[in-house]
Amino acid sequence: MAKYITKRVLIGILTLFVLTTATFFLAKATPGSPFSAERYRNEEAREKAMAKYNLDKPVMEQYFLYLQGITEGDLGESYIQQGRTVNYYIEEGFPVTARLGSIAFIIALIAGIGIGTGAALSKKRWINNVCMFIATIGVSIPSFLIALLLQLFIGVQLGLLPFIGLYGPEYYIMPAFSLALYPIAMIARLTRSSLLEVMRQDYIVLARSKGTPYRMVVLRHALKNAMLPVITYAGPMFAFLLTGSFVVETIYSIPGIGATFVQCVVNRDYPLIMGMTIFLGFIIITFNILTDLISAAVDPRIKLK
Amino acid sequence: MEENKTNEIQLNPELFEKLDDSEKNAEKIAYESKTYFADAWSRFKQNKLALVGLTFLVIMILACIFIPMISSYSFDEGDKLAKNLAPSMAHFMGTDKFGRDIFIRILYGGRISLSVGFIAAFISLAVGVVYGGIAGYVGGKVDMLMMRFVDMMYSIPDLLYVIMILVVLGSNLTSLLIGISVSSWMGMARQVRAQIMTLKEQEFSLAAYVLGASRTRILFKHLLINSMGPIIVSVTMLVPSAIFYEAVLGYLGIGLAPPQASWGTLANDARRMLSSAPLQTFWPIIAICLTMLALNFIGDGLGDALDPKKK
Repeated sequence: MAKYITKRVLIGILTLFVLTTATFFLAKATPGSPFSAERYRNEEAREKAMAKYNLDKPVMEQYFLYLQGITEGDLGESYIQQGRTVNYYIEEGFPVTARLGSIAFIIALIAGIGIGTGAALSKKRWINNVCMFIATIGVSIPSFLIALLLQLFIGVQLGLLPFIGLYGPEYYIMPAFSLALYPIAMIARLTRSSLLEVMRQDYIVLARSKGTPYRMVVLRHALKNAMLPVITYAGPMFAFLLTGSFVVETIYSIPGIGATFVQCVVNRDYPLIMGMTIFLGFIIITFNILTDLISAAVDPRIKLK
Repeated sequence: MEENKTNEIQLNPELFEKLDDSEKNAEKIAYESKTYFADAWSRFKQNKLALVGLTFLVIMILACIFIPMISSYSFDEGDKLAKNLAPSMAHFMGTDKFGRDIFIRILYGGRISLSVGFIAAFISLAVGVVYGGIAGYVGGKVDMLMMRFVDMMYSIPDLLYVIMILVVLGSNLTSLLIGISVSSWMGMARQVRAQIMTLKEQEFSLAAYVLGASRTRILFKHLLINSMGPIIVSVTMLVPSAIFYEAVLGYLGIGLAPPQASWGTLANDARRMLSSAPLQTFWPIIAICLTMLALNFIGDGLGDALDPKKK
């Protein structure tokens, strides 16, 4: 177990290192500099600014200085908004994104498992069909289009819900739902197929024949065992929701890290792009490792190697 | 002597008469022999949703190619007297803020969006098949290293690559294609590898080897041909995801630069008119939605059709 965790963490660190190196040299390879001669009146001011960002040093030295900064938790400073550090933007944006992401995650879990169970166990055909219809639509239409359509019809045309910013509980409804729809559909599909599989097992027949009420059989015996594929999916999915959707945040003008990232790409603010990429990569890698550990803890059949 | 005699067949002229036709055809294979694809097509035809999807896609592609050729409206020159018109007989979907016909712009956007979707899917296909094929066939240390690299690429959000590549190479069609392909070949590579791993252990692969076929020939002519089904299904699933990436980037304003237009950039242009002319945003979105749904239906249908065990 300890050996497995060490191995995963080492691979994770290696991935982050490769990501950092790749983004650093990609950014260096980009033509054009924010400190071009036209933008500065005198050469002295330009040199001062370059020195501040270590741009006067050779590329390899810049690279090592950057790596050193990261190990100390310092992701550098914005080119455009001088004086603002990358850490500042992450501290500002991440809580907003994390709150919205967590809400979407909870909605996805509850609705997804509910719809999946309904599709698997309901005796009524139409309930089955409605559940599977939602699952198909949710998988086929991406969050980006759902967000735009909701904004267009419920926000603009009908005026039922506010559609810009996050100023109160009702502001969360549309963005959270847009983010949650795809996970809802995926979880519903996973729950359905896994539950159908579990309901055929001998121990379910045994529990039924002992006279356990149907409701108890489903909740205590079947659902609990059917949750493994959902957990394997939900871990990385939570990471994606936490890192924010670039497009949903932009559509609803939410000041989270997703929208900030898009903004810094549009502005070509390299330290911010690099810092954010590394931060997002870090979150995703951490959650992938956590998911594997949790699935192993839940299902004793999984052996970690 | 006598025992031998009883075993002897009594030959008489009756045994040498011709059979009549009914008996002759007793073992004829009445079912016409079909190729793999003809068989798949007959199964595909039974899936109504997939057929609807295919029809829609064909009409969409034909419309995108031909209607702009014969239409009297141009996609980049507007009529200054006809700005922001509502849909009418003359302008099927209305006009935008420069007085350009939206219907024609949607079709022009479709040309770009659909080409991006298909080309990116084929690049990912080529890269993924070669990479996954080699990893799966060679196996061992090579496979371990190659797949660790895929795992690494996988653990980073797709859009990050696309955005980084667009930042470095500039916002044009080529970098868009490279970016989308770089972010989507890994799934294909994993799938091909898994297929090859199971197929290479089977007897026909050994038979080919014994007959002296080279390793490259076995990989490309025997193993990959036999894993066609799942590969084709993944390609049909890659097309909508490529269209989606292009649309997202276009919408975020980091995709194609004007005057080139795709469905994503059209949605982005119309965004500023959201409260005064909401219909302008609706058209590109509905075009993306329907195309993605159609492709997903086709993918599902192909998945069932190309897997003979899944009847």
